[in-house]
Amino acid sequence: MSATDLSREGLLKIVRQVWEERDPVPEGLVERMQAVVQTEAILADTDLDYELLVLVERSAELAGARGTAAYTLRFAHDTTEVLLRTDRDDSGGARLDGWIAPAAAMRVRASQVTDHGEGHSWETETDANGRFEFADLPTGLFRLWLTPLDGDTTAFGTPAFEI
Amino acid sequence: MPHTTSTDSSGRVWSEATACFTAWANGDTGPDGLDGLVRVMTPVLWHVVRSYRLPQEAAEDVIQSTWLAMVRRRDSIEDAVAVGGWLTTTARREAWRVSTSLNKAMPVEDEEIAFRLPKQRSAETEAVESDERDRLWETVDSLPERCRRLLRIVAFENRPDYTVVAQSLDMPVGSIGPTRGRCLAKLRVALLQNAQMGEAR
Repeated sequence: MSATDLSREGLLKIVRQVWEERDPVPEGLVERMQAVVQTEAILADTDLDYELLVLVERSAELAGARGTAAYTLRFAHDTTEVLLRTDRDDSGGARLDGWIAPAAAMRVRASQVTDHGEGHSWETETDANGRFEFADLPTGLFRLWLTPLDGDTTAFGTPAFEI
Repeated sequence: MPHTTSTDSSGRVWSEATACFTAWANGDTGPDGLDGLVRVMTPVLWHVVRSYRLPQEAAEDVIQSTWLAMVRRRDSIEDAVAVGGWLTTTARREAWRVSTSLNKAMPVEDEEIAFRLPKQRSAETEAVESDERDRLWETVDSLPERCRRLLRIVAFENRPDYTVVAQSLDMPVGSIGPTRGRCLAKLRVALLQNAQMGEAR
């Protein structure tokens, strides 16, 4: 202990070490953020203009007997809200149910976020109630893009989320 | 470029972030450019955001929105030297916003956040080191909560924006500097006392 550096910098270094050991950066966080940032940087170089939906609520449902990871995400931008619920299906794939309010006719694209930008994507459309669903998606990081069918109103994108 | 972790002298983190940001502005999205910026700064953002006692998933969400904001508002960061501060300030604001809305729903005490234990390291050779580590943990824990949070912020940030820090710790801006000095002094005394106790054991 005699070697402990008690200068201001030395003390701050001790504080850093303590926190790095007791609350380490989660495994894979850097890689997930790199994937998200690369995808967004590619997008920023294109003409696609969209409003970023902000995550306003995340709620996990109590794990069922199978230890499922069902959870709900609520995103918003101004007066538009998008609610998503993800769940695993019996075959090990994931399903994604969503609602947009106020209900609007939209094309909805779920795109995989991978290390080298956007991966595969799946498309569907909202029904009259603003509801949409994707059955049997692979698990992983995804972003959703919602584009109005009439082309008049704004397109929306969500941040990446794990399903 | 040599790769840095945030335990290194914090100065290197900021200069590496600046170098990566500059390289990205010149089109480099690789390990010395955009990827490098995310690698260097994500651990810093983690500690900044977690000092708001956010659960892991909420903390990750805040970090992601900080990165998305940086890409979307890249042109607003005029000076590459400022990128580190821009990121931590943006993350701090968002963390504070999220923590106030979470705390309305359910008050979270420090103790209720389940800190993950560090990875088990192999046994006897580590005994001395781990004894030392336990003492450091105890010492930092013995500080008042406000000191612990403020020092965590100061330790991971380069010249933090005191207005935002003050707001989130519910302290007047003018008292942050003096409080930081007092907290460092407390830590110094506690370390010295602990060292004496360690020798007496």
